[in-house]
Amino acid sequence: MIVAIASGKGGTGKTLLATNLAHIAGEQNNVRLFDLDVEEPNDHLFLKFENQSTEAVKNMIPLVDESLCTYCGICSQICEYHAIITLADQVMVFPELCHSCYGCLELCPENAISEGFKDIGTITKAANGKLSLVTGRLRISETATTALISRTQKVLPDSETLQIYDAPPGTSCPFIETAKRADFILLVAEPTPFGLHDMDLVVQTLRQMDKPMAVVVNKSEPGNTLIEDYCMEKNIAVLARIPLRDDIARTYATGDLIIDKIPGMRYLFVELLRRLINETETMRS
Amino acid sequence: MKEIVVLSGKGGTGKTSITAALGVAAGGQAVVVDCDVDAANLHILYQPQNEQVHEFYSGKLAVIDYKTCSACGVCEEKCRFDAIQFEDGRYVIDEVSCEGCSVCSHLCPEKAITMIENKTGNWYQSRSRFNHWFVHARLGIGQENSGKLVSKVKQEAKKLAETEHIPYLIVDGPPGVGCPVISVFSGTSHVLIVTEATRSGLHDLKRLVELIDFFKAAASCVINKYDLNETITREIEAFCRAHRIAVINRIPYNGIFSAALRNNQTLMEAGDPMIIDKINEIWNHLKT
Amino acid sequence: MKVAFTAQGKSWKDLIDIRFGRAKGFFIVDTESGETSFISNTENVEAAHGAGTSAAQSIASAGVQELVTGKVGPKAASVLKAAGIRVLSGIGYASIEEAYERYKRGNLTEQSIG
Repeated sequence: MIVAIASGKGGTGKTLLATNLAHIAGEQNNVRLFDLDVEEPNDHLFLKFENQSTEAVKNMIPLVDESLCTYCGICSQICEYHAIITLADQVMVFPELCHSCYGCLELCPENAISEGFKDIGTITKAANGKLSLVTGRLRISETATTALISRTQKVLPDSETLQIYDAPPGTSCPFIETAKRADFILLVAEPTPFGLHDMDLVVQTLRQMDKPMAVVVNKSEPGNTLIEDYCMEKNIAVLARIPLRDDIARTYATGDLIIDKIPGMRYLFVELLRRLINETETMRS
Repeated sequence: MKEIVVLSGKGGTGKTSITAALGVAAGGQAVVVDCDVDAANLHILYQPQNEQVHEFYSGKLAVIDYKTCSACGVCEEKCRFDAIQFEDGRYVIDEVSCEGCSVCSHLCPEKAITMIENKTGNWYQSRSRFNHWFVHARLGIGQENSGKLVSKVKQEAKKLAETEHIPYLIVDGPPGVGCPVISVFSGTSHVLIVTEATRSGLHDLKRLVELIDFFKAAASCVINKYDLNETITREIEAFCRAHRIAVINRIPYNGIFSAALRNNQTLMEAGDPMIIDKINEIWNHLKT
Repeated sequence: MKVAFTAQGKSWKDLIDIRFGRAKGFFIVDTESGETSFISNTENVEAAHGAGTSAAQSIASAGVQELVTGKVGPKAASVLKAAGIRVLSGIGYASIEEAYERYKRGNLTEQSIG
């Protein structure tokens, strides 16, 4: 079972939800949390595990054998990203622009191009008891966000494990890549005009993708039912409401888990997990 | 013409609220541009009028002509983005996964694949409810966000500023450090970083600054929610000093941001003199 | 020798475009024959990335040896350097005609490419 935690808007509480939920779930069962916000991964700040290993992730870039190259320029003509440039007597490759489509390699009439590699980022694995954390981290100046997300998702657990994806914000390709492989989406929404607007965009996207979903309201205030009203109208279950409180904000600011520091939060997350499992089970049958 | 881009790395730091307020402080002296095209929010506060809508096409999409297709499978084999599947007896292209690289089209032995222009979204030119120029865009659902729409929006805003002789561009930048943010650097005079006094905020700030250094762009910083954790605020200040980034203002963690937002108001309209002063200070600093 | 000016239009009276990668086009003058030509750069005007490298390739294949512009980014600069094209940058608001005069008088500074 793969549950993705998403929100359209950034800063709504995905990381707060993902880390606290994973921690609670990991107390009883095998859980793997994937931090797929590869541009700005934060989960590791809250789940500070020892026992880490990091590996580099590489993508293809063209390697031109100039002894075979005739400077015909076909590679440059077909490259949609202007990553390979042909001059009168040399070929230049710009690794950050390359999207690793292999087009130049496939189409070079002289077979002068082979596979070279560039680092696009890293994947770090860490664990503590039954909870493991896999973090994708994009190399700065690289544009391969979606490719790194897909590689990070492939670090599959060995046994029966609940997989949680901490999704990147937005509704474009990085989010789609994440949600594609998820069985269920838990949306975090904040009851503000921006929050509602962005949530609606995600809901529309997920409906197009035919993904089941439920909602957690974060920064909830008594009397403010902006999100609940929307969910009622769209027939989406609301599984929990995390209140807007200064002590929660401060605990998050410091990099601590709220289930450890704020009264009532442990109970909230235990209940949330129970309801989430219920929802996913209903969905399966 | 001076182009100021507001970035944060992390979402939720108050970037859009502050950008919206700076636009108001600038009066008619700035064209405000919303380059956060994936889940754009500024228009909610600015309520644009007299919008000119333009369609935006970027990148390409592969389309198979089944009359010519011999189902040889070369396209599926060579596609590096898992965008072609064999389904219901034929090869089908997944529009969302298709990168538009054109490799399948070049390799198809029957020449059955053509590349069409992909409609990515719309961009709009309008007057905000403050009667200032406002340019923004909306990315279609599930569309690629390579940064082309970001580039387009900024360019159109620049053209507008040049034609109307408006001296400043204030840009609400995209979050993160990927494609869309990289696109927004081109032609920028100055980056205003809005960060927050949290562990996540500091972590993301460091990555954003690495990107800013890569592009050798000039930057200054505003620390929002500074009293959430003053130890972290000091760490942020030390980090900025080390990277020659001036911290030009600090804003307390304050209900005013959410109160204003809830009423669809900018920070300049929420009736809090402290925040109004701070926004004016920030604008005065950026102007020079 | 061919010298290119990043340009907003095709005639001598049109203005210089201070950008390189996203310039509207390149106004090329053959200093020996006096012939002029214009290469459009519209394909790169809206490119999100790689505009500069592609523009550099365009002018290199047109046989340009010197370039007069406002500013060139690092990737484009590396292509121009590899192609042996001398870059004279820093030109601001001027018509192509005026820019050419300054070029002939030797009033422009070469951009050093690290």
